[in-house]
Amino acid sequence: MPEATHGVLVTCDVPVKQFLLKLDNDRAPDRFIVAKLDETHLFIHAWAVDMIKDQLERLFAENQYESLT
Amino acid sequence: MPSNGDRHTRKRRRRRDAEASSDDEEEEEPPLLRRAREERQELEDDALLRATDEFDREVTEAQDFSTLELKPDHEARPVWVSGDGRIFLETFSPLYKQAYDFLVAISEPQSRPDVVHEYCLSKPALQSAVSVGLDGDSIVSVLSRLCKTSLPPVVAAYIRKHTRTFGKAKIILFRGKHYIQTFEESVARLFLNDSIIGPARVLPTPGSEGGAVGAPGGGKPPAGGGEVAGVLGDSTAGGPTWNVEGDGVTLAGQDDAVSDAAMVRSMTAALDEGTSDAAELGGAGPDGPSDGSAPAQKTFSFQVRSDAVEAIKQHCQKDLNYPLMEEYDFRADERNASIDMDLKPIARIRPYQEKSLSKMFGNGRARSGIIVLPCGAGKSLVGVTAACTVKKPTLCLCTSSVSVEQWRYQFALWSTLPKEKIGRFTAVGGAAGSGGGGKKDAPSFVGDVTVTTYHMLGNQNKRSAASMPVLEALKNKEWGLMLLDEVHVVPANIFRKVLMNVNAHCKLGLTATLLREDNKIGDLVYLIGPKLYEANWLDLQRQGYLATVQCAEVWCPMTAEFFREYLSGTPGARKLLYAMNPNKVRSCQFLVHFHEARKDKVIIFSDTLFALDEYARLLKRPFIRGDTPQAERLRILHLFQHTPMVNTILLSKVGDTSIDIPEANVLIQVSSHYGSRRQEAQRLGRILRPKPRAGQNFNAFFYSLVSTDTAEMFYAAKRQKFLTDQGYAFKVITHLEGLDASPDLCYSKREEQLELLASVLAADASAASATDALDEAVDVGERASMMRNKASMAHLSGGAGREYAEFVRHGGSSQVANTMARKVATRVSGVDVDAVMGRGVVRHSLFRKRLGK
Repeated sequence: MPEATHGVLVTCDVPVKQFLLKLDNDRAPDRFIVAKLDETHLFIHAWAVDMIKDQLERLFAENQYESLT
Repeated sequence: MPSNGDRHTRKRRRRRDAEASSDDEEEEEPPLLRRAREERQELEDDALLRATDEFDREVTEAQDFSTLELKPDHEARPVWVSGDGRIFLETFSPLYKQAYDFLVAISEPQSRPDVVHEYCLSKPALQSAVSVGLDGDSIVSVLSRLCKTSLPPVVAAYIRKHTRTFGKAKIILFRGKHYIQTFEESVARLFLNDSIIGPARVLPTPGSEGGAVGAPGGGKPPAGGGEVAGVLGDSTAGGPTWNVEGDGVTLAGQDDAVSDAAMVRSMTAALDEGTSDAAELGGAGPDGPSDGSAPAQKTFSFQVRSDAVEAIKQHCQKDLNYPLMEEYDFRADERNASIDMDLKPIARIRPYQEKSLSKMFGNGRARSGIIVLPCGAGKSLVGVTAACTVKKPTLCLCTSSVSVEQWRYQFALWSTLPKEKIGRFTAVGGAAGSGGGGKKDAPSFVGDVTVTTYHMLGNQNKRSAASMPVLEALKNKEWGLMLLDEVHVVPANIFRKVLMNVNAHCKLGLTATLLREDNKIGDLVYLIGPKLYEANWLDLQRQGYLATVQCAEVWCPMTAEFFREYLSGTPGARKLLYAMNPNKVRSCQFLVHFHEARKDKVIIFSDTLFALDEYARLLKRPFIRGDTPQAERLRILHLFQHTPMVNTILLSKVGDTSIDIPEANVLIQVSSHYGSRRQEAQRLGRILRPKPRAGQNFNAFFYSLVSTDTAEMFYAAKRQKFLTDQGYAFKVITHLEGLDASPDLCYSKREEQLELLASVLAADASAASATDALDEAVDVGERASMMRNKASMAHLSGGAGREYAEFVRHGGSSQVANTMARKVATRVSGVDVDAVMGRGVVRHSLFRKRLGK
């Protein structure tokens, strides 16, 4: 009997995939990654999408230099 | 064209102005009336400035200046003045040159790219404008003539406010003591009642030279005891009151009463108020170098403690708004014998050097301040010329013993002073005759010109007995001019000690980058003086005094494994990881091959010593780091400069300042000191010396290799800020064309990359940073900022990663580009770099954000 899981396909670049893997690890009991497809594709649970967006947003901001003037 | 009506009103206004000014001259407005008018104006100005002293430059949505009326002939005018004191100048206007000279005189350049410059009005800049002879009203009138709109009234008020009080008081050094001198009693009164200046005043001790000098009857109404007015006393009271400048002798008899001012003050109740108070100010001490008695011109002066001078200067500038002028009339100084030194005829001063010096010697006197010139633009010649103009004993301070010798060489090269007369004071040599510094024959001695380091004068404790006499000699000598090289690196506390130890009439600071990461640059204004001149990098580049540099930021994506480790690494490990990113190594190797094929001379900079060693091993090129012996350094540099055998060298941060390599024209930056803008500018300075290679658009290249998605992106953006403000454009290369096509690059296989990763992780991060610290010790000023950045590191690198949404993907066209680039890369020499640099430039959310400002 085939099993179906509702989810979202994530396409990202190599480093971001690494970041998502780490994020997944850190949330150990409730992981969101369903399957690691290849270097740039992941299949995740739909409920995690907003959370991932949030986290990425934060990380982008951290590496971005804002001039104070 | 101005409309008819407009022209009429202007004419009318001009006539009215003319009348007003002729009134001033002819009728000699009664002082009371004038005072009243000035006060009224002051009140109006204050109301306009809303009691704030500085403009509020917070960028807010509400900054809307559209209410300013546009003049009908605005197209002919080159300047926008906004209500927050910022000025924008169109460089394409035919009036650009005149407007530029004017704006540089009255304001501080903020950003000077190609088309539109931005300037900021500031107190120090306005004050130096006043000291070269401009006055507030003429500044306002010229500015409103240049401005496309009517001048915002708040700006005019600001200008008037800060030019009015300048020049009213000055601080002079006379026989090793500091005196504050002013021509207006209201100012003197203000100073003496001040909570900071008052206590710092030195009351002359009995028998001190000069004795009491007051000034003639102050002409103030009788004092109310203890009131402000009381301090100035009353001439009619007949007591020891003001005395005409220059005849201090007349009151010598009252020395005792005066010198015991403290006691007198305690007895004020018993004594006549006016008298005692007058004594308080009158006993202020001898005058400065007086220019004969001028009965009409009253001078009030008093001595202040030398150690309080800086605080007083700061206080006067910031709080009282009566900045103290520091000028040295070196021609009239007869106490210090003139030195017979001139520039040699071979010395040719470039126009911009002359301009900077004319700011310093504007009115025939030497003014203290800072001159900012780009690296490689001939700062030392400016210093030597200044010394030759003053012709008084000159003390030159620099950062290391290497630059001590360089400065002595410069003095011998450009001036007629024989080298024996150029003294030095360094730790290596020890004192003359002691035999201590046996190997290196460099004894310290004091000459007419003496060169030393900041540390020799600043460090009080650890001092060999042999160098004590030299230090004493330095302390006791009265210097006409103090030259301060690389003035931005000096930590303020060392600097204060230096200034306390050594007496100099005039101080000239030289630097390329007037910025520090710890925002202590403002202190320099009190310690030395205002910024006198700042050269425009792009103009110098256009005139051929600097090399034309193409700056590029090369993006190197992290590999999956490296990024995984990066995400969980400590700050130290992260630093190693993004420096050793295999894609970065490959890019670096590619660029080295490419430029060596063009017969370029390449320098690779790496702050991380572990990375330096690795890169050197991979590229099989020589390297120089802090602990490389002197002989080997010289050998490597010699090979690099004079033979085609070595075309690439790797340098750690020792190469930032102290190594002079005029031949190099390509610079690749692998790792750098966090977000230090100064380091970026200084490294660029390594390749700024003009290059003979003509015929191409760019003759020097500056590459900064950045690992994407890491904290390095943050630092790179910050580091570039200074250079972009100077008008340099950084080209972002997201992908080096031809990189994938080069088969001979290292780390193309995954196993090799993993091996590298293992070795990076094995390299103990703490050990790596320890060797970095060793290297660090070479650089004097770096440490303070290093500490600061370390603290912020944890905050900044909490987890790295950024997504770059690219709008243009290299899709269809990249195929063509790739093949083209391959052709280009395989050609041996004379290749067009633009083919490689030009492609792969994408518009990018990051840039929309940065450019949007």
